[in-house]
Amino acid sequence: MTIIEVRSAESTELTQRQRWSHYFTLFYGVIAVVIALNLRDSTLNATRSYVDIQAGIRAAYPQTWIIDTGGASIFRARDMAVAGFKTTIQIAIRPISLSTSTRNLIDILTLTRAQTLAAYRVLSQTTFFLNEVEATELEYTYVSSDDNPFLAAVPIVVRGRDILITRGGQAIIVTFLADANTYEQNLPSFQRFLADLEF
Amino acid sequence: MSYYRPRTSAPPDDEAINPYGQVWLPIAAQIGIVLMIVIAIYLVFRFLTPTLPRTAIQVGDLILALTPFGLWLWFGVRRERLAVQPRTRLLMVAIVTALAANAIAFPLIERIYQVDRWLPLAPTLNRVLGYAFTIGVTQELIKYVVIRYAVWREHFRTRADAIAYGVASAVGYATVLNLQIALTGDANLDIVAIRIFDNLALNIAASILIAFGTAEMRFERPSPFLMPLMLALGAFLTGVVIPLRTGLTNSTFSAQTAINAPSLIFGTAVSLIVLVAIAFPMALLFATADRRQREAAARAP
Repeated sequence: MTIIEVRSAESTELTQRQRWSHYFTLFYGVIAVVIALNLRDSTLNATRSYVDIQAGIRAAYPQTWIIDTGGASIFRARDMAVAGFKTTIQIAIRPISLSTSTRNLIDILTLTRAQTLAAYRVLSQTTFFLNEVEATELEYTYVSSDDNPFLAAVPIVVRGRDILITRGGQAIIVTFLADANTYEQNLPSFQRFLADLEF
Repeated sequence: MSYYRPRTSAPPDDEAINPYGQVWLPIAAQIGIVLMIVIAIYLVFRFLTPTLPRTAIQVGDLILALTPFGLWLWFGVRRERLAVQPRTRLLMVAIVTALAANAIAFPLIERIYQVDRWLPLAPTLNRVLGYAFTIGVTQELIKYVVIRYAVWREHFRTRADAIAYGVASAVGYATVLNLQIALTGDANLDIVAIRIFDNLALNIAASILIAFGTAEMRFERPSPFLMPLMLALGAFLTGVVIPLRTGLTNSTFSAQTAINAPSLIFGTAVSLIVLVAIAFPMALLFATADRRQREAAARAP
């Protein structure tokens, strides 16, 4: 005699609830990605405003950077959270005579820096329009070493970008400095700063 | 007239009633052993402060990183083979989750979200939300998708299967994180051991929540929003625990008090408390749901 065992086969079809549950879960994942990117951008691109009525400058610098108005520049903001060379944006204003051209200004900057900065090299020089004002962009590099001899740190290659604008009897020099390794990564912060800069 | 009561005898062992392997005991054994290793290494480094050569630290870090996976193979996979009806895809789930973590989650978190650039310095609420929506959702979604497409339904015979496969995915994901820690730095063994335990405990805790969702989806008729809710809870758990653990572990800077050394073991305590706080209520929920299902089956004609 042969015994045949009959079992009720369980349906392999997904129920409507199971299907929708899966879709909702995937949809939640997609929404979460959008929220995460938005959170990242809003935090990374958050800015504080800076106004200097005397110099006639209005700017928006990254929120987490530390502002420092001392020294040769009228404005300097640095990202102190970065290890090694602190990514810097600074603005300096220099009086110039009416006969001084941008070419003269670049020469003065190059000569001064070649004497004070180690391995200073100009990489490129281009002219463009910033907020409908003619400006000159100067890219350069140098080697920065810590002044403290007790800090046994390896010198850092710094890459910089100057934006030179001449206006009446003064030259505005907007400078961006960053470790050469993180220069491209931090450049958008400077580009946003330039886009918001009013002078 | 003689009356003979029907003679009944107890089944020879538990296997006759439950042919599937246990899940909670192997988890407890695995976590317990990893915790003992962490505490032992922490005490040795705290009180004896040994100075190890760099190669020994690297080898030690690597062994520590693979220890949870090895223990899971022993307690989870090997013991499973002894069951009458073993779970056959545990290793596959762990490996696929590990591969997905390394190929998708890690690049997404490191290169796209770039959490190290903006989250550590963000305000507390932003950090909780940030970690939940970046690291939390990524890791829980990957674990869910692997389970959903590799084993869900056909290989879910009981609710315990959801836990077993959830833990497999948690161990796979945690192993990738642990290997990243071990291979990308020369941190001392005590620091690596603590971080490895933290990764394992948090991943298992979140996976238990996901397992509850997948089990309910398989055996009950829950709301379609239950699974996304459990995923959100798992991600939120990650979002809360990471900043909390970091806050308790790192020393505080204050002008009034002296700066203390980082209290690494506090982070481990947080991870353990979170795991226990999730595992016990969920075990109760699973047991209750199982009992309800058995009673319903017994009442059915």
